[in-house]
Amino acid sequence: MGRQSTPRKNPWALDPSASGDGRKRSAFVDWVNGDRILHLSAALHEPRERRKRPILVFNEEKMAAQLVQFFRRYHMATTLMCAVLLVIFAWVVITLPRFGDSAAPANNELPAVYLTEGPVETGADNAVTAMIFTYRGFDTLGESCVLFLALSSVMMLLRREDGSMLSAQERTALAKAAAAEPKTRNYIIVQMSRILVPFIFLYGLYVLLGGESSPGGGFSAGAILSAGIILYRHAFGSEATERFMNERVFVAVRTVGLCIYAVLFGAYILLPDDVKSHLTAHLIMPIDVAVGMVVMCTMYGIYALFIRGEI
Amino acid sequence: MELLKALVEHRYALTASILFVTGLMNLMQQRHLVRKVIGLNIMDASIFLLLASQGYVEGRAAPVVAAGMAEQAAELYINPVPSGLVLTGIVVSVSVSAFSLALIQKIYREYGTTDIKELVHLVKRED
Amino acid sequence: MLPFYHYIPSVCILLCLLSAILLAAVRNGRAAFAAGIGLAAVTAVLSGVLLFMLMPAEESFTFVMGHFPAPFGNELKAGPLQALLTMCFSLVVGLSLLGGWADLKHDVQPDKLSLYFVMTSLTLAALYVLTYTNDMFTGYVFIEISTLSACALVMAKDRGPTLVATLRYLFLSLLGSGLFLIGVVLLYSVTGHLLMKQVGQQIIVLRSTGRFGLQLAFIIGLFTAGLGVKSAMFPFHRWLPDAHSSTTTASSAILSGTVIKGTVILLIILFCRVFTLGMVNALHIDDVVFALGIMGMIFGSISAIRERQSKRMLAWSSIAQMGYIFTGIGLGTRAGIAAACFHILVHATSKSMLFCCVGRLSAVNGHRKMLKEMQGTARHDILAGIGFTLGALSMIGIPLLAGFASKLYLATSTMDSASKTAATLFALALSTVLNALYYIPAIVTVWAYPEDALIGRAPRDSAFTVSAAVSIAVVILLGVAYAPVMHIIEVGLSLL
Repeated sequence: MGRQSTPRKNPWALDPSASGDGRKRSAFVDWVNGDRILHLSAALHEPRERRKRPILVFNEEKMAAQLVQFFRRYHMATTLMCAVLLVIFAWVVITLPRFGDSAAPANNELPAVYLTEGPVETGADNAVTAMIFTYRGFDTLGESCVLFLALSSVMMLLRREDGSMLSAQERTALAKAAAAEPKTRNYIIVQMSRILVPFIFLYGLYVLLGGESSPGGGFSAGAILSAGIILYRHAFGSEATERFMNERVFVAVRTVGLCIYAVLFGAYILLPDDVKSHLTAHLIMPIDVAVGMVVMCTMYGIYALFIRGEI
Repeated sequence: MELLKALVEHRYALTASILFVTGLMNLMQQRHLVRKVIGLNIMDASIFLLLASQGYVEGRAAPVVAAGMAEQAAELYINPVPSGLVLTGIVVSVSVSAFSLALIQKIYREYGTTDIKELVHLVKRED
Repeated sequence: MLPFYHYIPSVCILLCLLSAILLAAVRNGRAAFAAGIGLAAVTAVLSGVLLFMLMPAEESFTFVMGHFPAPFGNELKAGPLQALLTMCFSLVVGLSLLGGWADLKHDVQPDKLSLYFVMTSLTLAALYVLTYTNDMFTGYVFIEISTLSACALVMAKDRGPTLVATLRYLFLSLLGSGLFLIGVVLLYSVTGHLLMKQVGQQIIVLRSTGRFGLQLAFIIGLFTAGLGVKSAMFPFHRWLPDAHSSTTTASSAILSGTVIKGTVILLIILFCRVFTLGMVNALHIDDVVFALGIMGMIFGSISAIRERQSKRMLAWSSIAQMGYIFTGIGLGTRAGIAAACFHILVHATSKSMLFCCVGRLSAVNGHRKMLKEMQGTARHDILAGIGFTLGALSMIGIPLLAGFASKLYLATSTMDSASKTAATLFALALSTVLNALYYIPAIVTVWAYPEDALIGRAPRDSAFTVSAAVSIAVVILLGVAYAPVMHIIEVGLSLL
């Protein structure tokens, strides 16, 4: 423990020799700064000798050795913990209702009502679509916001600053990449895309519009449509894509889509009951289309941000 | 024998738990950051497998109600609730994967490495 | 038509979501800032109105989201406690944004500034839904929104260590969400419902027949672990010091003040509404939470003493304060949970004020954050110094300030549970001493005579002045008028 080398005296008295520059400084402030250690705080701080050094000496090998030790112990501990978790998890899961059991607690009146009333009340034969857009529509609104949030975060991370803020070498590198783009386009991809992309878009539209009466809906259709745009961009380059999908169109489609969803759903929640029942039957299609557009924009936007840092 | 029968009857849920622990071990023990994200995806996929398997009822069809079958629909189709929940879950999983990969790309641009051990080293040196 | 205040929770939530969507299309940082502050103000006022309408009649209501009642549709449940908590959160978010605006302009790139306010709006939306929700899967979706927006708030400052801290926070947080989702899945397969009231009824039936007992215990454990990871419960707290200290001032204040509280509130709601307190007591989950809370209290304070950087010290202090909240929950009685809720209010207001004042004080000395370099900075901005002092004294627990009341209630609520009284009182006393050991030197440092000439005095920051003044008023108000607030909390808990 750090016993002070100076003779015992009043710790709060002014001590002109405490610091090297000879200015009169309050010993109290010295204690606060950690330059002078009293007995009690010595128990909680490092020994006094280290304090005299202005910066902590960074000992590379000791830190590396510490890290190796830490990771080895960490490895063993996590493996043990996962093994225990697996045993407990498997034990719990085995005593659940068995797979395919029609008497399981999950098959109560809830799915019965969704299956019998759903098509009648919402006009959608696909019970899953009926459920996620009308009965549990708020969860779907939250999920669309998660997508929007992910896109905004990726924009915050990866979007390039305005051209004025780039350094000279970054600008030349970008110009080189832009010039090299047509030559890197693969001939096979270009030709196959010419054939495939129209069919992909057609199929995407079919899935989108048929979401009510067959498996499909906004989310799957959005993924298919975005796959079409990504293939188009990969084959034909960013200039061709930017003719119909540039930043302004992107922001507009995304904002309008999400606003339509939020406003429609808000109206659905807040309007009185008699108006609501009229609304329920026609709610799904516009929301479905809006969600499809938003998903398409989000997927394409994430791709574009990863590739080039701007849309 | 009873145990074996139980294991077979709950095969999907058991697979889901094994996959979950596999994903968790990858997330915690892999040193390369992208492999950690893959572990996270495996974890999420296992939860969706567990959830989707809870919805199946033996001998029934997918919940797209054919015309005119609405009255007996409850006996003819599987439970639509877990399918809807899995849909939401998949979208959330995609979003967080996109975010974490963008973060990893930014870290790579900043530090030049994606190894978690070197990163801890470099960050400690900077502070 | 329902009475008008029944619409307030859903209107607030929709407002937050709409403003987030529209702000993403705005390019001007200042306009986005005004919109962010406006949103916080409007939602705070609306929540206050709701509280005012609900308190006299002591009622709570459920609001059907859409045409179909529970269990087929989605629902919100609103009571006085929820209204009070959301009002506090809106206020804290607004004050943090005001107090940290100067640092935001300094840390975040100008063309990404409006995206920052998108994140704060979504954080606020997530907090509202977590407090008001009556459905477990909605809770999961908005927990994910809260995670992503919190990580985006952390990485707004574009430095290397911040990015690594964000990644660690993200991975641990997603692990927590995964555990929570498995809990929801298992609960659905065991009970067959997703709405909390129906799930609670089914659980009562299951307990009486004795089926699925092991599953229910595992599920409660999963929920506690999953939500505990996100709220920095003791063994899972490692992400907090890096994440909260390496980011910009407003983010630190919002994260420490509100985001880590949202998941605790969801845990309280689950314990009270879905699994009744009796069941939690019988399965000894509350003992585990109690023990972890006490360890968090002690270890958080001990680690804070070792810190030499001001923001890391405050971050470790946050872990210690979350330990108080978990201790309150772990007592397993209504009184304990009420004390925990009061401490949520106290910590939200005091810690955000502390972070804003520290940000301002370090800005006076050229944005240097080590405590030694902040010596004497309070003499250049008296209001920041006063705010820091009062906030620190509140965290220690000096009477007339907010922290004293919550410690008082925590101590008195242990008198009911015989086995935990001694441990709680001893831990409270020890942690008060430990808190003093690191807060008092910090207070002395900022008020002492400055050694070197402080480089570059910061220009006058009117936004910070307003924020600090209001925060100080709120902290003193909470400390003096604690009895009415506690009454609201107790009434709200009984209606939960």
